[in-house]
Amino acid sequence: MERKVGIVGYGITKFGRRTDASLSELSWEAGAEAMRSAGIEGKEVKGLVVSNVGMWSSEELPAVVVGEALGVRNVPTLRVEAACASGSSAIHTAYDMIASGRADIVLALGVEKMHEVDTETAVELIGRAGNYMWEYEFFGLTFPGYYALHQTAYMKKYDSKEEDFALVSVKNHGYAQYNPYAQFRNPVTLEEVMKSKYVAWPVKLLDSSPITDGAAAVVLASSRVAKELTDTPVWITGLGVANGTSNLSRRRSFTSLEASVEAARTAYASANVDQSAPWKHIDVATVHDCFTVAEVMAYEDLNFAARGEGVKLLREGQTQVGGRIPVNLDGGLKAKGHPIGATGVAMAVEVSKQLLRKAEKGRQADIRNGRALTHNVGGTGHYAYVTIYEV
Amino acid sequence: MKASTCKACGNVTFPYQPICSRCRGRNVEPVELRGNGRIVSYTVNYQYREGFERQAPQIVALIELEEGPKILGLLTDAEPEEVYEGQRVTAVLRRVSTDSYHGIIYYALKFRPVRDGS
Repeated sequence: MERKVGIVGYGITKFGRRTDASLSELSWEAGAEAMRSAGIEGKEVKGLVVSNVGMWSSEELPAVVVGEALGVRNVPTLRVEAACASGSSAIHTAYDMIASGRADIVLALGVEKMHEVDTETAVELIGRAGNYMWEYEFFGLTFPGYYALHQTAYMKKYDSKEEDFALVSVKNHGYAQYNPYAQFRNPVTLEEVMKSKYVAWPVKLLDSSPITDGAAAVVLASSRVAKELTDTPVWITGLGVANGTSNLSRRRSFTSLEASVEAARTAYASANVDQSAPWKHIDVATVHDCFTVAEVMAYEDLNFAARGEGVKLLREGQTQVGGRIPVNLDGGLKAKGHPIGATGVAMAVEVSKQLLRKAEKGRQADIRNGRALTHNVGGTGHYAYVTIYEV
Repeated sequence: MKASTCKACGNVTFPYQPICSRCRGRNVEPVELRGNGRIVSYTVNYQYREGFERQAPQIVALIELEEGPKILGLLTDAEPEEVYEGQRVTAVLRRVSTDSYHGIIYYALKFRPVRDGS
């Protein structure tokens, strides 16, 4: 029988161009805050899982650097990687360490310093997130191009146009202005999104998440220890993970990410959430909006909307505060920023704040069921993690 | 374009591999694909990597070959405004990139729209 696991503390850094801090310092900012809010010290942590993609990073052994910075010693320590879903993989790994009975307190920390290389190099490295030989080497296709193929297919199949996707950017920038940790706190208008330059048609610059440095951390504990540490643990009650083919061209659908559908199905089943209308049971969600089309596909893959109706949900404002299910009230990857190894952990921090009604003014969801969801994708549906949290 | 055809289930796997990608059977034989297909989806990519500067913007298409497999490919001899989903294309050998430092020119298959009379 698995043991119950909950979040008892969290911390996050300001996201953005953080050339002011080393990987060690960024990790300390988030990790020390997480431990302080949990009321524990480094020596009480009995497992450390660090998510970091790190291809641009000078630190070869980031988990060790983090352990030293936070005073976590002589415990199981490892770094995990699942592309842009690395952060969720850290949380799921830490969950397993506790649920299995191996440890009572584990720190999951995500950190990324993407500004250690110039933009061109970052673009090249991210472009390899697929099948290297058959999709990258000869074609020169970069990462936004993979999602552009999905948006083109979506616009062909369903009644939608570029303006519909731009609404994701307008919404997420709108909420980021209330999030002091966000990279871009400036609201944008529909016109500004539409006038921004094409990166890979029909994906524009303001449809795209930025290059970001940042860190986020959560302290996870077994139910027995969690209840000793806090009156308000945030329990992990549903987990779903799936993987897709490396080669995009071997997928069946280009208007959906099959791995997301499968991860959601498993997560809903484990948390006893209604598969056909999950939004009735969930108060708030963060979804993986690396590009605006990714948020629209997520609405449908997670069953927040029927196929082809994700854009309708946006047009009607149903994913804003007060709507059917508010999504990405922290600004999302688009405006909060996307330090890829930290993003999944940052999502856990965000839904914890939402469920505890501690989100900043202007971006707090109504909490009625006490249940939230995070959806974190690696690559273009190469990995998908869905996690359900409850208070 | 060498692929494998599975004698057990009929599936075509590209590129060639000795095991069927659908049923995992080993009873496969090599087959030469004709290089004809239709565009499923496409993008006009304004970002470019070193070595691809002179080709920007590139039109990259997801193509369903008439034998069944889907592949990603660059379009050639085409303007962005004339590309559409469902368009017929055929494979041709073209230069893909040049390495001016080592003096190497790389060639690979690209796809050209099939127009009436061509």
